[in-house]
Order: sequence, then structure tokens, then C-alpha cells
Amino acid sequence: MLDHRTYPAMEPDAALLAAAVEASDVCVTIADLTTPDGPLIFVNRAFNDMTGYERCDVVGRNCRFLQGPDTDPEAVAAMGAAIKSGRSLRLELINYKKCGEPFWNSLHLSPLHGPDGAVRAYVGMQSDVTKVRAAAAAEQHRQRIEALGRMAGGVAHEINNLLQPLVSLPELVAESLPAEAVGAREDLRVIGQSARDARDLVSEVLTYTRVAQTGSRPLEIEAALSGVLELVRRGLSGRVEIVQQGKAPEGARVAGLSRAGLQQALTNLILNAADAMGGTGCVTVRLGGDEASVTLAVLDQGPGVDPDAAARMFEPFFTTKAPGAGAGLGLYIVHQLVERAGGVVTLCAAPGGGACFEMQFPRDRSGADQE
Amino acid sequence: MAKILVIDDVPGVRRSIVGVLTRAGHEVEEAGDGLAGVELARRARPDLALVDMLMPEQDGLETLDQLRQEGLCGALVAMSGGGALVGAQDALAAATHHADASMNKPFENADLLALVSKLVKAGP
Repeated sequence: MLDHRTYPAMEPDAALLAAAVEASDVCVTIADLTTPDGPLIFVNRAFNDMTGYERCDVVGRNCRFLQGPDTDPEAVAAMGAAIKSGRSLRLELINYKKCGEPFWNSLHLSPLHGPDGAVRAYVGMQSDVTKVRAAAAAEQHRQRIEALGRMAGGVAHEINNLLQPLVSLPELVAESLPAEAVGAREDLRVIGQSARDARDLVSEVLTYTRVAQTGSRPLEIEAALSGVLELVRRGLSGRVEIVQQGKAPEGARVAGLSRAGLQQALTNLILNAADAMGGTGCVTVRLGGDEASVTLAVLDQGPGVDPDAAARMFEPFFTTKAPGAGAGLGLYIVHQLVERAGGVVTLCAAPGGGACFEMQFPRDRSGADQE
Repeated sequence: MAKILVIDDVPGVRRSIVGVLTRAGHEVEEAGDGLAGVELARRARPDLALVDMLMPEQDGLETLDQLRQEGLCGALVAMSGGGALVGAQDALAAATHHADASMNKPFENADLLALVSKLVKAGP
């Protein structure tokens, strides 16, 4: 504890101050810099809550016990440099709980000076910002996908503008040619036809990807599922089996998702799964959920998704297939459909090493039903 | 035979539309952006205006609204490149409330002529 003879006299309500530090949800630590290696001499209750370490585990030790394999050495070096020169420092770094679990620690270190002006101690304030960082990263990822989608839409618009003269002008030129110019007229016809084919191709790629409308009323997923899967089965080769498993919470409904949207999402996921398995095997569609959400997962028996691909797989036009084998829009569509219903789609590991794509939707609590 | 205004930032598109409509006997004026287009409309009072939805400077919806509010044209048509993922298609969908009709580019000459006939005949 602080030595009242060495530090300036405390305010009369020192007990309240101490109680406040104990009550805080922000970790407070004090390291004694008058002792070699700067051991911790105080940690508050929040430190125990955040890290799992008890006071007796840590008092007397330098706080580097919180560091581990993924802790950035540069962050550690920055801390050391700040402490050596008696400066304040604020940074975020990976620390480890007593149980070994890593977390992002937002750390604010401040020097405590003694009456002689030298630094006697360091006060540290820490909080776990793992979730905040993950949310920020997810938001950035989402914005990147949106930007790519907008760019793709913009490119289509530009291509269509560029095609207009190729569709319109050949006819006008042909009209002004003499009757004998059969070959020239044919050339012009070919130009026009080629432009129309290009127009149709652009339209096909982008129309196929047009995300289904949301529908006006919440969808009861479990009731809709078997009918939707029937339609999906019809589009598959006979060698892929679709198995439905699990249950959603009774009467669980999802807003912002239509039957057509559910079909579009499942079709894309199941086609991917079938491809991953080389066109034969079993795809499992599993329902689940709780009070707050409904989950729908698609699992396959394929080789799983490569980690490098996993980072980019929801981007429009990203594909690991050979050119021509797919536009790389399937997962982008799934992502857009799920997000529009307020949900998230994530890749998890399936037992046996295949891929598992899980869509999690928040449950709708308003009164209306969709038939 | 109608007086038609084309507002589109792409010269190739303007040339195509002007060519087709002129060949069919219409009188056509053109502008490369919304601001210039509205100016032209004030002087010319066209029977119909064809307006591209995604233009730099003043965007298509604003242009349509201004033309309608000032009563400068008989009929209004919104045009778009029809990109379906986002943006262009939404713009066109929004435009249906602001215009009398919409067209996706690239359109067929015959379709453009048919639409013009229909809207100009219908009158204000």
C-alpha cells in the first residue's frame, strides 16, 4: 500500500478514494519504480475480473507476466522506453489472462513523481477492448465490401453507357449506305449484335446477382425452410444430398428476409458446398438459435476454406475458381442478404474439416407473420 | 415531331440519341450536365427531356425535380446504365417517382422512338 510518510498527505476522504479504485471497472495497477524490475505493488478488483489473476499471484512481480507469444515486441519496447524516460504512454497490446486466453489490453501508463522529482511509481489503467476492436474491424470489412459492390455497379453503368453508340449508330449508318453495300451493312449488323451480346452478358452477371427484395413481413424460418430446400434440390445434381437438421426456437421469425432471399442465400451456399465436395456428398443444413437469435448453418464434407481465401471470400468478384468457372459473387450475395436482415454470416470449422457457414439472424419481436 | 432535350454526360450516348431522334424527324437539343440542361430547358421548353441518373455535378434526381418544379418539360424520362448491384439500379428505382418513365441503357433505337411517341402524344 502507499506509504503515507513518503507521498503528500491524502485528502480527508482517502477511504472513499480507495473504495472508488476498488469499485471501478477499469483496472488500476501501481508499479513501484524504487525497487529493481518495477514490481506491482497494487492491483484493484477489476484487474482480477479482467485477467483472472488474484492479488497474491501478482504483487511483487513485474507486469510482463501478462505478455505472451502474440504480444507485439514493439509495443513492449515502447513501454520500456516511456518508463525509462518517465513519460506517460497510451497503447493497445495483446495480453494474456491467467487461463491463457489472449485479449486486447488498452493501457494508459502515468508516472508518479516523488518529492525529489524522480519517478517513484507508475500508475496503469487498463481495460479489455477486444470486442470494441473486433467491431471496428468488422465495420471496416463491411465498408470495404460495400465499396467494392458500388464500384462494380459503377463499372456496369459505364460499360452500358459505352455500349449505347454501338447499339444505336450502326443502324443509322446502314440507312445512309447505297443498296449495293451488302457487305458493309452486314459488318454494321455484326457490330450491333456484338454490342447487344455484351449488354446481355453484363446484365446476366449482374442480374443473377441482384439481391432479392426483403419482403414486407417477418419470415418464420423453420416453416419456410423445407419448401425452400425442395426448390434448391431441384437445381442440384442428383449426387448431392441435402439433409436438414436441428430446430429453430418455436415460431422464431426474422425480419428483413423474404422467402426468395432465403432461397437465394441457401442456393449460393449449397452450390458452393456441392462444388467443394466435387459434386457428390452430403450437405447439412442445420437450424438453431436461442432467445435472441435464429441460426442457419450449411456444412459440407469438402476440404474447408483456405485461411487466405477466408479473409476475402465475401468480397464481390473474389473467387478461388478458374476464370470462367464462377463470377465470385455467391458469398457476396449471401453477405448482403444476411446483413440486410440485421444478421451476420461467419465461417466456422465443421467437424471432419469441411466448411461450415453459419448465418445468425436477430429474432423479430413484432406481431406480424409471413405465410 | 417533338422538341426533345437530352441530358447525359457521355458524348457517345448523346450522339446516339440525337442521331436516332433527328433521323425520325424530331428536334433535339443536348446538354452534358444537369445545370446546363436546366438552363437549356428554360429557353427551349421541350416536349420531353431524357435525363441520365448518374452524372457528376448536379445529379439526375435533382435535375428531374428542378425540371418538374419549374414546369419546363412536357414529359420526363430517367435513364440509367442499369448496373444492378447497387447505385444505378437504386437510382432508377428512385427515379420512377420523379419521372414519367425510365429506360435502361443501352436501349434499342426502336424502343426509344416508341417511348417518345407514347409520352409526347399523351401530353401534359
